[in-house]
Amino acid sequence: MDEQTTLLEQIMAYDFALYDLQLFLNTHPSDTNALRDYKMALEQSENLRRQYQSKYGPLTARYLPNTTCWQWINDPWPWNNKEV
Amino acid sequence: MDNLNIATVYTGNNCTGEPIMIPVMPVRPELARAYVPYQLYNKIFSAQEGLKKGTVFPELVK
Repeated sequence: MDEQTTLLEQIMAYDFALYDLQLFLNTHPSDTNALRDYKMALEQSENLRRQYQSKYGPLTARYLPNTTCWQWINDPWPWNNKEV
Repeated sequence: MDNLNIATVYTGNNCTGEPIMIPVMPVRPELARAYVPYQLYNKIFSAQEGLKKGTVFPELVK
């Protein structure tokens, strides 16, 4: 698996963990262990996103590293990516 | 599951208000009522393993 795909999978994994922990925290808002793990997963997810986007471009249109050129429409588009 | 496990929950927002101790399951369950055990936090899977298994909570893998 290339580095780009590995990063994407890690981002998916941390985002899933965040969602699962979110559901738990909804019914256990004062659970400090769950809250600690949520915070750790959030930091991981944000770091990985930062890493991915600086190397491979925007994951969402809200990522705006360059104010002179709109990068969101850069090739390849998802359905043109032969790797996937 | 051990019915004597106790969790503390708070009645107000932001973890304030009256703390209430609740059992994981009712000690004296009533007929014609459905109950969901109150989950207690243990170890969770790594994010990668959680994604594969469909949950980060080992006790929920069936």
